[in-house]
Amino acid sequence: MTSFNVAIVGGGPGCLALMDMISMDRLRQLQMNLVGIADIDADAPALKKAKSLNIYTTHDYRNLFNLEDLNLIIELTGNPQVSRELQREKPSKVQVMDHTVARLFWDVLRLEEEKLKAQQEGEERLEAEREARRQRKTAEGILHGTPIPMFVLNRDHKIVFWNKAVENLTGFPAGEMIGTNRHWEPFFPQKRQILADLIIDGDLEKIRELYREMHLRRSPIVEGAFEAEHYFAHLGKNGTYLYFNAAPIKDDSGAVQGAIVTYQDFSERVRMTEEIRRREAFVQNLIENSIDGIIATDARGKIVIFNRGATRMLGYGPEEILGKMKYQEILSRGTAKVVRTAFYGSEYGPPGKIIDMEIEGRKKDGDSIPLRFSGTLLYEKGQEVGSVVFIQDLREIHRLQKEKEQAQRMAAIGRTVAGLAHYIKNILNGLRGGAYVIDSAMSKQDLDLTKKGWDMVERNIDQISNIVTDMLIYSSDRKPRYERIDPNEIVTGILELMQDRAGLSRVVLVPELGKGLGKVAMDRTAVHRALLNLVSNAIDACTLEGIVKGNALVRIMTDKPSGWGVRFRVIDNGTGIERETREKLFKDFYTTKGYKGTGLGLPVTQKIAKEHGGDLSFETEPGKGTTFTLLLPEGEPRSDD
Amino acid sequence: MSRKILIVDDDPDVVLFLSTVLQDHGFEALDARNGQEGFEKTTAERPDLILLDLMMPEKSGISLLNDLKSDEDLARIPVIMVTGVSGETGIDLEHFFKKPASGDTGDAVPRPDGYIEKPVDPQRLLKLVQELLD
Repeated sequence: MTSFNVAIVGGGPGCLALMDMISMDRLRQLQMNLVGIADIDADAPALKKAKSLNIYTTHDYRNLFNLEDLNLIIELTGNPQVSRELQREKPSKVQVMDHTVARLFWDVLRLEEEKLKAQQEGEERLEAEREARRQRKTAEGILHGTPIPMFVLNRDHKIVFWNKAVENLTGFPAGEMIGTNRHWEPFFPQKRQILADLIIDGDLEKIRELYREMHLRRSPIVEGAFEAEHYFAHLGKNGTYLYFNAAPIKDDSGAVQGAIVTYQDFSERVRMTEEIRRREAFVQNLIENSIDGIIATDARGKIVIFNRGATRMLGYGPEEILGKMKYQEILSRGTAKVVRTAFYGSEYGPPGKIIDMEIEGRKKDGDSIPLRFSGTLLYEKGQEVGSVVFIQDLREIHRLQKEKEQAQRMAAIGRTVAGLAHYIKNILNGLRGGAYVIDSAMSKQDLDLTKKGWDMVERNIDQISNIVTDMLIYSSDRKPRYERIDPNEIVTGILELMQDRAGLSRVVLVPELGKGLGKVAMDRTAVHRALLNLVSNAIDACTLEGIVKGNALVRIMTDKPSGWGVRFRVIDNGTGIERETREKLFKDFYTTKGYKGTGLGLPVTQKIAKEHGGDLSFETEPGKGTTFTLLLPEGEPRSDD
Repeated sequence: MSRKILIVDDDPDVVLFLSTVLQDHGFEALDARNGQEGFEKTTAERPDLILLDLMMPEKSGISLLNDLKSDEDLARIPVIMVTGVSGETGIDLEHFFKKPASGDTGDAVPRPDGYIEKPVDPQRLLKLVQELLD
């Protein structure tokens, strides 16, 4: 809408009122601009006002005709003479509204204004109602959506509100519950009054009677409300622990109009507590029944855990230790100091830890006991709050270890008895044959044959001697009887012994003896035995399948690698060892030689190496040959008993 | 002229024992240490009987037996299998060797003419040898 320029003639009270209307918000939409006012009286009130608003004023209405873009002149003088003159003299494009029309217009405007005002008030009231409804809705929505299970009973004990959370808790949907008095049903197996019912009835006595056992207390926050907690076995799959609160709903006069009940499910917490208790009991059990001794201290160093294992090893009962004694009092003073140093140092694991330290403990009766000691300092937020240590009776460990090894060897011997029987039977056949040959030779006075027969008997006696030696070495728990010997001396002895047999098998024995080896501490009989086994195996490897190649060679080498006392190497160019055989070589009594082998040779040799703190290893290539290496340490190994 | 008997065995003790037994009873004893040597000596010496060890290196007793029995000339030489294995292997050799050799069943394994178990009883051996040579 284009703007509409108006001038008024007559600056009395009507003009003032019109000015106010024009400036009113609603009429501003008309885009009516007041551009001038004329009155012959210079003191007319509207003239003053117009001046203050910077609107053009004049004493002669004719001056108004010159205003640019004037559209309308409103005559409010009430003088018909002025009205006529204006009609006659005004420029043609300007309209004139005389005071009679203006009056009518005025009344219409006033009416319109009244109507608008009334309408506006009505809308405001409606809006307020809507807002109230919205708020109520919102509040209900919040209560519906809240994770706190709740429901509301009215004065007649009927359910008027049953939210989503209580639906979830009970499994009873609102649709079934609203308007009924079935609120007891999810919680109890038979109908009874619940706390909310009693609050509505104001029956305090019954509240106390029914809820005494359920930790009943008054709400510290809401007047007239009660709280309680109970395990509802009937509710949920495994029953439910609920805390609940029932509060009265009162009107303005203070009369009870209903009650609201809220719940809190703390089953999870109860279950967690139970789980923690169960785990604690498990850990307690673990500590108590551990074969290791377990001792723990608090921040002041007082012993707070002392399990049965510790009691067994040290002789103290927990009652004389717990909360009373410190490490220093059960270890000797010197040992306690050593342990302390070890805890803070890094010799036995990182600082704060001790891993497998061997210490001398002291029992209650004063006897000392060798212990394996492991432990850790306990920290909380960087603060040392105690320690826990694990002790093992070393004597027991050693004994168990030895028993186990012994049992394994015995089991192995048991497995090989059948094989041995054949082996021995074979030797017996040899002896019997030798006896026959000698018999025959003697009757023929054949000295040469006697010699042959006697050799046969001797060879078989040697074999018996060997197997007996092997079995003794293998089955017994022996320590090497050390003497300082030139390793080459042993090799030379073996060469002499095996030369004949090698010759018979057409195998050449080649000694390659290192010079200046010096004397090395070893058990002469055992090392001799070990080498004999290796050389004997090497000869067998060259002849086992009868493949005596052009030059069947067994080299026996000695030298001294750094860090070791001596290295013996027995190198053959025989059959080599197949992959599947390699794995069984040391593990079991195993032989590839049929009734000619006992399966004892290598286990025995390995045992000898171990007893010396040495090492036995081999390299082999099927069809090419095998090298066995026996390493012995420089000095006698430190005794660990 | 005394009969020649070839002993094929890798164990020198067995060779010495068996040859003593045989020599004491008027036989000439030859020996070979493995199957290969056994075949060569059989060809060269034409023994009247062969004592053959079943478990032997290089060429097993069975393999030599096979060679001998498939050779037109050598097949007629009686072979006594000397075994030490039946105890260890659980193979019922007695049953195995006593089964008639029959080509028509497709069974290619040849049969020895006799067999004796270790330890060899001299009397039993001599009896068996006599039977086969007569």
